[in-house]
Amino acid sequence: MLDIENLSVSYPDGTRAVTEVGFRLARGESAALIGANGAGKTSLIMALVGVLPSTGTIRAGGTLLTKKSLAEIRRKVGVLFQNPDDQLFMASIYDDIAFGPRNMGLSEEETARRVDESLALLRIEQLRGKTALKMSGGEKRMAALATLLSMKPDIMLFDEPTAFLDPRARRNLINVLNSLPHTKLIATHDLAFAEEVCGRAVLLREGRLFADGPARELLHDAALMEACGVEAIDGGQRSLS
Amino acid sequence: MADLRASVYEIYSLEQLAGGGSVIHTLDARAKLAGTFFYIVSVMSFNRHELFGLAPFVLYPAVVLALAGIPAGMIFRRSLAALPFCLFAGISSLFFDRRLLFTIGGFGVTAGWAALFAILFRSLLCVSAVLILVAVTPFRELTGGLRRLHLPVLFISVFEMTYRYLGTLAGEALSMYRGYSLRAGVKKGVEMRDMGSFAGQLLLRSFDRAERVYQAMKCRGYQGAPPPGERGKALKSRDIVFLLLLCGSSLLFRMVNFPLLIGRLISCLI
Repeated sequence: MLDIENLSVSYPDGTRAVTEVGFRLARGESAALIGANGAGKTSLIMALVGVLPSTGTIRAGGTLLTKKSLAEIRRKVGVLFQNPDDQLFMASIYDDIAFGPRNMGLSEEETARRVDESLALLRIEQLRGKTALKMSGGEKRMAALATLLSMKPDIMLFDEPTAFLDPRARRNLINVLNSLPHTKLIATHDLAFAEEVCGRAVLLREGRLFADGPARELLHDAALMEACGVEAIDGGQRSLS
Repeated sequence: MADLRASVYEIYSLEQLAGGGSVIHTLDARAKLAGTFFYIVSVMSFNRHELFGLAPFVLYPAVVLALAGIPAGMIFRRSLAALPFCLFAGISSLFFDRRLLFTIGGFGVTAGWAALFAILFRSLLCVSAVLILVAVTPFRELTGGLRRLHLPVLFISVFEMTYRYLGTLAGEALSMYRGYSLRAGVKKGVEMRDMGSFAGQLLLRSFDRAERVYQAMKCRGYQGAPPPGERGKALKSRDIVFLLLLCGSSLLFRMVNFPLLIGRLISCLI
């Protein structure tokens, strides 16, 4: 479903953010992208939808990422940004959720249907006419997620989805993500969250692929996580016992 | 500073009215844009002392607000925000233009006073017309209408971005101000000596934020061009009727001074 080979991302000043990373996600698979600050998680996600220029090969749902296929890739791959305020820029949540479908050229009736479906799926119908300026962090996160769902992507990329969330909103997000059948790649520091949502973990260190395997094993491996610059779940106690 | 966020919310809340389904809401944005433009040009083309000739132009906001079901007070309150600026622009007339134009109940009205009131009245009419346009047309349709009227794409993009970044800019300014005021003791506002770095930081942070918002837009298919469904829609007959009525009445009120005519008629009858 998502196929990455030798992916490298560099910033205009020459700084390498990601170096020759490669992995593959099967349809419906959920993987956590783990790494310390500056490990290249966000850069990798932005490169996957062509927002950051990259070298290497990216295939999403069988489509090779090129300049020509950019629009198609962005229809297939949805991105949830770390800060939901970046994604909610219209006057009302309805318009924010409708932004993607309208850019896809869908009719106003189909757009309205998709907006209603997304709101109902996340049980946030009450936010329909609200503006993001007057919403809580949890509501904004759900609304931002609805902006993705309305585009009906096959693959969803998440950048620190639990940032700014209180425990209840975080629990709600876990339940929602577990109910979504999409292929998911989730960049996060919240390892307990990653373990609940993802069956697999992909570890990055200094922009390079450091480890790739079952989340339940990797996230409890204190030595591995320490080397990756992240603290293992429960300090790695479970794997030691 | 918190008022800034409230003001932005006020602008956005006005646009939330635009989702209505009245006969005015469902008109093509091009007809509303062109009609409003013609109305404003007609109002602005009056002699600077002309006050009574403008009176019939009140009909447009009154009729449209009634048809669209928008509270007149809401538009009127927001229109008042423009008056202080117009007051400053027109106040000099009081001192430089002291010719007596007419008397009302023994009080002489000078040309300066007439000019001042005319400026305020014209501003009120024009600002109301723009606010009504925003309140009855979703922003997306407004920009779509501008595109279909073949205005420069760059101009429309800048307009779109500015509007979308208003909330972003207000949010950044507010969070910076909170951080500043919490460490500024009892001082109110941003001190002049800190203003340079405050404004500079706000600008840099806004650039950074704007970049992320733009990335989020691109991720959801924004390409700077209108989506295929927006292109090539023809005006319907009711759009043309609205346009003709608005432009025709504006032209008529501009050419014929109805209040003066009615006044003369009453004088003749008396």
